[in-house]
Amino acid sequence: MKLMIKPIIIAIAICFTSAGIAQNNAIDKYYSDYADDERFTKVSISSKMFSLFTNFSTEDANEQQVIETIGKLKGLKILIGDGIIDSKQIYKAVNSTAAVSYEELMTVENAEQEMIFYISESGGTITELVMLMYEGESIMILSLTGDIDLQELSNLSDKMDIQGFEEFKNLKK
Amino acid sequence: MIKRILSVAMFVSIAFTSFSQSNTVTEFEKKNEGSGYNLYMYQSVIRVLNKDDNQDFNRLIRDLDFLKVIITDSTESSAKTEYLTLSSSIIKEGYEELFMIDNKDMKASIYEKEGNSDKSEFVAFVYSADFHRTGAFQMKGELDLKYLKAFESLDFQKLKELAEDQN
Repeated sequence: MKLMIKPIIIAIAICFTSAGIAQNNAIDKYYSDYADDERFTKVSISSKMFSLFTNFSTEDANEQQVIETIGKLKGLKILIGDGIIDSKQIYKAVNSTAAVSYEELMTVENAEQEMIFYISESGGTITELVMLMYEGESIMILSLTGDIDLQELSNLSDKMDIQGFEEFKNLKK
Repeated sequence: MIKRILSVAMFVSIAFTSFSQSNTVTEFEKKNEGSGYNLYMYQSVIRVLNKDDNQDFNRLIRDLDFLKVIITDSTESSAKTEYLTLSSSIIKEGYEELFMIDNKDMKASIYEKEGNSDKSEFVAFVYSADFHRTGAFQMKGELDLKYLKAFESLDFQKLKELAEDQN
């Protein structure tokens, strides 16, 4: 079971899709804007797709935890652009839009890249996580919805090498 | 990485499905009859692909009726259009999109429709720019995922020979 479960989990976790995502989330406008732009890769996963993973079971406690984390997710949308000359401008524009609707969680900057995370909360629970990343001529916009536990996402990052989510380790509980 | 994601997502989705005959898929099948690539495998044939005589492999597929793969001819220049038409058509049939990936090299999507029983119906389409092909995947029945590891016993060489025999 171990051999098959891991790639499946990796696929879902990295693909992070969109099905139960609200129509007006941070990424929808840009999804539409770049729908026909072949420089962008678009990925969308629905809540139903995530729920399929809850049918898996494994004797490995770590893998089971990953499955449970994924099972709480409701949707994922990712927009990835490569060879985007104006990636920084797009990043700034998305950032401005997101700042209006979401609470800023964390910013990570270094000489090569900028990364910012936003969250939306309801009743003390994080219901949406937005991640924006810009590096050279590349840009990524990610929206993840569901019952989101940042610590669990951080653990997910450890197990599956998901770029960006390891930053959640630096957050205080 | 994207291809790996796609193939795994496809497999996971298909693993839970009980496909019925979508009109979109049926029409696509008719259109490509005699050309392209078509593979039909009933459970009895799939059992032959158990290279290790692994009993868990048989348990994995015991509720699987058949698998169907339809892929367009690579000489067709309209593969991308075909994919877009299929995707549009399946939505009109009332299927819900579960998964989608779209970039210049490949497009793929998985759809679901609630069936009359407690089982859902799933359809998947893939377009590859590299191979100038569009494919549709269909499966009737279910895989028992407790035995998913037994998938390792699938004899890919024999599967390849089988596919070549059918085309």
